Formats: sequence, C-alpha cells, structure tokens
Amino acid sequence: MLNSLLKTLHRSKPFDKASAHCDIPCKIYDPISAQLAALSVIRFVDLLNELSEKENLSFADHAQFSRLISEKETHAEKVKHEIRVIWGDYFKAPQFEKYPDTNELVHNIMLTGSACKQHVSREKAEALLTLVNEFAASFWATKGVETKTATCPYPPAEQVVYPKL
Amino acid sequence: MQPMLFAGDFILICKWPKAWLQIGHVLVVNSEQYGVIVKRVTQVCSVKGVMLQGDNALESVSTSAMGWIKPSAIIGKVIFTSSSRNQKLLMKNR
Repeated sequence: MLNSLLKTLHRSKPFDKASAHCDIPCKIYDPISAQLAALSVIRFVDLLNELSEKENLSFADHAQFSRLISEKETHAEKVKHEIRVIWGDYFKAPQFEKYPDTNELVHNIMLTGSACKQHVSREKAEALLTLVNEFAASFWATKGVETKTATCPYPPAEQVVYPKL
Repeated sequence: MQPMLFAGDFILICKWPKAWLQIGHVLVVNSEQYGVIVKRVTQVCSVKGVMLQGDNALESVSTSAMGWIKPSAIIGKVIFTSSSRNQKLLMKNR
C-alpha cells in the first residue's frame, strides 16, 4: 500500500536516486580481445589490398570485397568497444594516477579506430594495433604482470604484447 | 544491498551527527568514484570518516575500492525503507 503510494508519487515527482552499485563484478578484463580485433583489421586490409590488385573482379570478388569491408569496420568498432569497457569499468583512480596518459591513449585509440573504419589503410591499421598494444602493456602493468612482445603465430604476423603468466 | 534493498526500493534518510555514526548503520553518501550510493558502515573514524560495504558482498563494489568516505560526503542515514518485497523500520542500532 505504502509502496504503491510512493511509486505513484515518484512517477509524478521523481525522488532523488541512490545507487547500490551492484554491478556484477566479474573482474574478467583482458585486452587480448581488442588486440585480436586490431590484428583482424590489419588482416582485412591486407585481403582488400590483394583484391584490389586484380584487374577484373568477378561477382564472387565483389561479394568478398563487400564482406571484407563490412568485417573491417565491425572489428575496428570492436576494438573501440573492448577498450572502452576496460577503460570505463576497470580503470579507476589508482590506475589513472599510475598511468596519467591513459585517457589520451584511449582517445587516440578511438580516433584511430574510426580512421580504420573510414579508410583502407594498412598504416592506420598498424597504428591502431600499436596503440592497443600500448594500452595492453599499461593494463598488465597495473596488475603487476610483466609483458613480452612477440610476433603472433598467424597472419598478419604482427608484434603483439602478451602477459608473461 | 540485497537482501535489505532491491532495485526500485524507496528509502528515507535523515541527517545524522558524525559522533552518532556506528558500525552497521546504512548510509547514503556521495562517493567521488561511484556517485550517490547506499552502503553499510563497517568502520568509523572521527578523522577519516567511514568505510562502507554492500550487504551483497559477492556482487558489491569492494570496501577497498570505495576507500574512506569523508564525513562531508555523507548525505544521511537510512531510517526507513519501503519495498514491494519487504517493509521495515530500521532499528536504531542499524
């Protein structure tokens, strides 16, 4: 009865809200998803460039071209999403104090990710991977985990920052 | 804050003197990190303020993540809750 009355009052004149902040703290954060997506962007650019070298494109080539463009943009957006989640949910005041350049780095990733969507540019795709690797190094450092850089054992065989676990 | 509070519950708070704050009280505070939140007191310090914890420990942000909450950030103490699930007047020692 009282609760129903309060609900009615709240609908007409909302009360102030307090959050219990009970997000499920899964605490599962790993920049590898962003790194794999950045590698995928490079791979799609490579495949698009291979396709562009053909003199005549068949119907199937056109279909593949369309798919590669779509996937390149999807994965560039995935990079941005994955980084935003770690930046927004994992990074808190102590991490920002330790790595004050994080905000600028994340902003650069957002801009470069968008540039990768707008262009078919290996240079821009490589720049995105470099920035994401930099972010991964900072992320693992905040957890006190050492990192190593190694060439990923699959195309596009680029340098990736991995945690030393 | 389950099982005491569920999403959508109504709470009534009132200003509460610092000196009267006790472990177990449920407060609404303005956290720098988390905004306006409702949590239970686990430690009281006249200088640093209070440490808080959610009742639903498995799903609440940790006490260490919230850190010490300054007395100036305390908005009020919960004195009444109204829920479609439960209704109760909080006792003075909560």
